Amino acid sequence: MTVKETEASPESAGAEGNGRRATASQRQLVWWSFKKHRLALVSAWVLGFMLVVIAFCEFFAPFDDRHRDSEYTTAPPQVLKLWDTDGPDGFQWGLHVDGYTSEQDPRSLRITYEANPEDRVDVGFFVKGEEYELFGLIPWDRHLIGPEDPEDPMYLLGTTTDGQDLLSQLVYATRVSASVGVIGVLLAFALGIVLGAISGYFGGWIDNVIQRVIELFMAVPSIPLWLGLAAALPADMSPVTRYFIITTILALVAWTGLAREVRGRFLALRGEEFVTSALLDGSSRRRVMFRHMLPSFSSHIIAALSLSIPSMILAETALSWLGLGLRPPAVSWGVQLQDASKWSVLSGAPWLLIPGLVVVIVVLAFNFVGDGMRDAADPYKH
Amino acid sequence: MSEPHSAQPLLEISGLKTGFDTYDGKVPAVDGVDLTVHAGKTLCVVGESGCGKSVTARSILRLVDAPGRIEGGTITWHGDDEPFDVLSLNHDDKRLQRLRGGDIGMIFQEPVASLLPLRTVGAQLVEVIRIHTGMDKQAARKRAIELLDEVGIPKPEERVDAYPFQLSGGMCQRVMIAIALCANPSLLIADEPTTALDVTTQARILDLIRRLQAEHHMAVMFITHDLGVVAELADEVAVMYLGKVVERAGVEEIFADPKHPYTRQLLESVPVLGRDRGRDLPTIPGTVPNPLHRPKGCSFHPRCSEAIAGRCDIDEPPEVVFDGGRTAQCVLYDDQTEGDRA
Amino acid sequence: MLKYLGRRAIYIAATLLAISLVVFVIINLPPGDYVTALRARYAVQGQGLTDADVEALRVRYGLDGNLLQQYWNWLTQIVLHGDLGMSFEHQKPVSEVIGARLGATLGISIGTLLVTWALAFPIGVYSAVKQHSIGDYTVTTIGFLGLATPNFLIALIFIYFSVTWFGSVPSGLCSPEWCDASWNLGKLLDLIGHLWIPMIVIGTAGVAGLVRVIRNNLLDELQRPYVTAARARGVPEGRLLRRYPLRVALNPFVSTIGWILPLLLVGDIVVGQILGLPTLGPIMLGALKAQDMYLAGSIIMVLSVVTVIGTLISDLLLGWLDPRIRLGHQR
Repeated sequence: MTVKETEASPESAGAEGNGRRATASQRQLVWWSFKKHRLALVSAWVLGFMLVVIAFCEFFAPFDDRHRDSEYTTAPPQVLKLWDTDGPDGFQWGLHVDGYTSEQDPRSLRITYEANPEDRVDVGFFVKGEEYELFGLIPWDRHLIGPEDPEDPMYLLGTTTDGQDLLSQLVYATRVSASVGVIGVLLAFALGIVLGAISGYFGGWIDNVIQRVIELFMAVPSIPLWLGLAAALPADMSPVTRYFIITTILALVAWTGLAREVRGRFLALRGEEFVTSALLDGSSRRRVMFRHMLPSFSSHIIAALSLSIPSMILAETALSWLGLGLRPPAVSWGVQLQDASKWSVLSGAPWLLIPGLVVVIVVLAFNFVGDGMRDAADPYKH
Repeated sequence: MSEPHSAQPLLEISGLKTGFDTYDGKVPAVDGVDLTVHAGKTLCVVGESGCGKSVTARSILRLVDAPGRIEGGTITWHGDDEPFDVLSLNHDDKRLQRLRGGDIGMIFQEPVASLLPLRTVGAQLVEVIRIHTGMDKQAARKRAIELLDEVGIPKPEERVDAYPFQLSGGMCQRVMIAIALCANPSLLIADEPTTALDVTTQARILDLIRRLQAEHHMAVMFITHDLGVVAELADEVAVMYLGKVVERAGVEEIFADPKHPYTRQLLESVPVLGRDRGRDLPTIPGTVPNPLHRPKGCSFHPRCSEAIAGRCDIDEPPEVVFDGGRTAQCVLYDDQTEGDRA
Repeated sequence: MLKYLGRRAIYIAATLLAISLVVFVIINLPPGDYVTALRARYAVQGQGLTDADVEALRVRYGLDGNLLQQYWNWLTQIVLHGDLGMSFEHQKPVSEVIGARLGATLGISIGTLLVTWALAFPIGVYSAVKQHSIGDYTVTTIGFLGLATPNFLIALIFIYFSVTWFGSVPSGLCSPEWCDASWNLGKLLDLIGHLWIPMIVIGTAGVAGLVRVIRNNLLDELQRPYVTAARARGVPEGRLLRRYPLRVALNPFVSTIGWILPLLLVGDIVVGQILGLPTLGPIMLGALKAQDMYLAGSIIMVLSVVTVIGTLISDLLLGWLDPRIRLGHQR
């Protein structure tokens, strides 16, 4: 949602002369200010790209998330090549990867794979592959990239210990892990808003009670609480139920911080001079609420939300990695990284850590966008 | 100035330029300021907020923090046996150390925030006394109590152990003055010291400053936007607008015969008891322009009722020196203009 | 000060009560109770338990009343007898299982905490004082990375390099040849050789977080009027930094004890698991996975209590350091 906010600003067309600044709307000011934060802008693009991938998972992943090739387990990543010099006809154009040769160690029985330039696997864009239904509605069978012959191995990021395509798994895992973060934060936010509104509307002792309860909640260390609640879930839950319950647990533990942030922001804003002066100028309460407070409020809230998503994502990843969160067949970043936990496996297959890299990038991106929004939320500050 | 000054110049600022680097470009907060403080006299620097008067004061003790930077000019200190330029000193020069808090005391706009919240006012006083006089702890504490007494803090033996947040703003300003006085300075720089205080406290602090000035034979450089304060305290007045001194004169001259249109309009906008009953106060039209986009020519011309098209919006106004030494930066008194008029 | 202490004491009592409630709920979340689990276990071993046996066991463990009574029983057992219940997995009282490992856990955690501080403080101060320098940018970048990387990932990366470079992973707290030896320099060096990896892995997020807090605080403080005012009084630069903003910036540093301790303890869960440390982490994970709820709940309880104590210590230190808090003046 952060991304939408930043990309949907048509006023971006540039010139921020001094004269314009004086008459610019709050949104324009925020956007101009945000644009100056270069890391935040790049991060917004990264998140935007991620959003597109999440929406069209089935299309971007070369294979289905259940696809398993027992012939190639823990195979290394292949290099995408544009031309070929080893073929029968000498030099030849054409997108392809090299197939594998396998070798089994007679003692450890471990199979190692190596690229085999003799064995050419043609690769194409928009190739026909496994069938799927986009958004569960539109049946299709094209994939952004894939082997021309669906039976051929094309594993650009290598395969897992189970012989699954790491790239395809990663695409699906991104959908799961990122959405846990975003949905969790939204749930927490909704809870916070509702209680915050009750607290603010009734005030007095109800506000007091709610504040004390929040304080007590905050005093219980969150991470052991996460672990305990997640562990108490029955083992035989369906993946979808588990997904929603884990998200809810994460939200339950995280809402207090957000609720405080919202309430604090609101109270701080109510005391701001521009609000008082707008009221004194005779603006209606409604107008002040929606035209003056909400715009400056929403940037702060978006910033706060964006900054809470990383901890949510990291929590899910850690929980799943420990085996307490999502479980196979569901795939998330944490589940993927479980594969890399055994050091005997990891030492021979460092590519299993690639999902970790994605975690870091996405977490950083949310952080930077949040930072940028927070700085931009006070456009007059500089 | 009107009467030739018998007093020696103590501090001479000449061509001072201090700028701030911001995202949007360089802001020249102080743009070529010339000022002189005479020993034992009071110079008031007046101007609207943002005109660079505080930055000028801070530049004297080299207190301008990044992104601000002093870019040019000289600040000559005549208080020592041998005059020297403050701006040419190294950061670790003993003379700069002695100047700060020793020969020059300084007080600020926010007295409570200018004291460290975590230590008692006594501890902060003692620290400065020991830095500048080399007294031992006991003697310094005794001196601290004396100083608190001198600046009119009741029960100084008790207050010396109070924390700043336990004292009122006025009390804190008195503590700041005590700290500034601790090494018998020959100049006190007061940067809007009464702005954050209520009116009665304000009057008392002004009285205190005047009394201490007489007792200690100090010069005072008083930064303010309040013309009432100027009338009460000043010997000489400098009026600043957008980083420049537009007019300098003795205090009677300024009030009796303001030369620069800005000074004139400034004076007209002050209510006078009796005169102004039942009529609208005149205001200066427009607002102070953003220093990033300083108007071409005279920076006051867009708000000036006497601006001459074709001159004021093109050329920098000349500095005109009148008989007696008072000055104004305005084309109205230029020979050429006078000639045109004739 | 007394009023302040009193307020803190009441607050802590309430917090502990809240924690105990939450833990009790967690313990009772999975279907069935301890006796049901025991019965199932005996059934697997071919020993049936009669309904009468089950009833007797329920009474013995205080599981016969309604939930409120059970909670009361459980709580009084803890408070009066230090009895945390039975571990189903280990077939031992929970307090024994935890007690055996609490020492090593606290040792590693507090050691890491000290190292974290020792690293974070100078780095944070340097980064703030030399803002916009190359050093500052490097520190800030590493800090961002440190906060964005889950600590188990750091552990995995360490293991990868350890295996590729040295061919093995140092696990446990001592090498076999030193484990049973009496304490001497060799054993100490061996211990330190084993400790640095867990410390780095557990401490990274803490250091990154702390550096950020210190840097931001100090940057805030350096812009306060009192810094300029002190400079105007002729306080020398070094003294100015030490006596004034650093002192103020120290406050939030102290108040981090509360949040950094649980962070370290959780880091221990991850690292202990991978490196086979004799700490609470791996036990807790095992208990959670096996739904050995008394053990798991008790460990959560212990971690929470440690956190609350950490918060209390930091509150007291804050009151001691900051007269505004001590004298009840909130600003």
